[in-house]
Amino acid sequence: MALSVNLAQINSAARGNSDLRETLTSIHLALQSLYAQTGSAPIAKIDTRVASFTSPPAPSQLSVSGANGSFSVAITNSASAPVYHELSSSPVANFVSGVTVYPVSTNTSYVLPNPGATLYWRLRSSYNQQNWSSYLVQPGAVSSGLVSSAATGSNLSLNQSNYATVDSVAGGGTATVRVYGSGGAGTSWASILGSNSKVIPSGTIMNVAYAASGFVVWDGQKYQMKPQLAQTFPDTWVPVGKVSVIANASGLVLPVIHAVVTGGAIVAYQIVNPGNGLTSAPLLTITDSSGSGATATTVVSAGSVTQILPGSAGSGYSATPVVTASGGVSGGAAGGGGASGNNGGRLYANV
Amino acid sequence: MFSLHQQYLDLGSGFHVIELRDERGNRHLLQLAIGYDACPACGAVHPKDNLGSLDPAAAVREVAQALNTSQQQMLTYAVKHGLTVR
Repeated sequence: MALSVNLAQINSAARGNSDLRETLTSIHLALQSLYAQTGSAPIAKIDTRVASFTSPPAPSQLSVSGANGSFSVAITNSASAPVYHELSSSPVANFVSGVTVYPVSTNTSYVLPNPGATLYWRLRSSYNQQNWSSYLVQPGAVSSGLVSSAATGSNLSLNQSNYATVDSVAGGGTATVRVYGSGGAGTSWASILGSNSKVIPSGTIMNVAYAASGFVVWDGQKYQMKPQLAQTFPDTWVPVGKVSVIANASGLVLPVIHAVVTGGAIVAYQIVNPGNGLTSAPLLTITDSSGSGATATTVVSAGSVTQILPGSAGSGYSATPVVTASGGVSGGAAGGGGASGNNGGRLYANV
Repeated sequence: MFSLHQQYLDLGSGFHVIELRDERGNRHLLQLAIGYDACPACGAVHPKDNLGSLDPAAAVREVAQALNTSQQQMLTYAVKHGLTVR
């Protein structure tokens, strides 16, 4: 019985393996010769329509990089004609297991999301999707990395935003930390996670020690203050903001300022007491029974007011307008306990 | 008007949690830190030593009064300008 096989079948079976193709072709030709000698089979060529073998292109260049939870694949063709690429990956260097073969395409770039994966990559190319080049393997494994919220748009599912303000004020022997919304102290605020939002009540945390600092978090029922940022990241908790309660300003002395009035206008200021323990320039408020419009700012050096910078002189002032200093502690109200902190809307490490 | 809705001690976090609510369900949490303080330098915790002088009732009165004053001003504003209150 004659073995009926033709060159097209051999080419198809061998695909890009030229050694195999040549071996099968040799066997085929040997059989043909044997059939001719013994007369046991037709010596005519079985399939005269067989296509000629198309050599595969030279391997293209492959570059795979990983960042932000995705693999970026760039392929550079070695030929100008359309080239089909078959990309595959594996968690092991020899591609003996876990191989993922991506759809054959003429595309030369891909972005493949796969957060936290480390994979080896290889590529083979073809003109006709039958005859393939040998594999081109990218040296070394590539890690995609983890997805960062900084790399995504605001309020996508990976992003959590809040619009809370966290600060603290003096409360006698201890500080009071306040959490509130854009409406001011006592107003609720919105927390946005992805496309969902919820309203969280305002809060007043009293009896907080001076010089304490921490991260305020909403645990679903109440606020908590944690010394470490990572402690605010349980899945159901909502990080609110960072608060730094400054040291008790027991040594704070606000300055005493007198105004010098000429012709109803404040033409100068006299520093009666420069104050002590100031960490920022105190604000000056000028009140009077008849006058208005005068403004002035202060300059602080080494904890004391060293200079008054007159702004508008105002008009209509009596001889004894009252100049009241307030503030003087960075980020807080006079008397100490000031603090600062909110996350500015977007939560990404810096709350 | 904000008034005391519930209060409890949360032993885990060391807070005396006081929840104030008004008629519309708006909430404000007043929390007294009574558990411990953490050293800002080394992080070590130590117990509060002023619990005997704390007056939660006074704190509730003070905070509720501030909230109600603010709320009353807002309601007055709404009436003056014909606003619907939600």
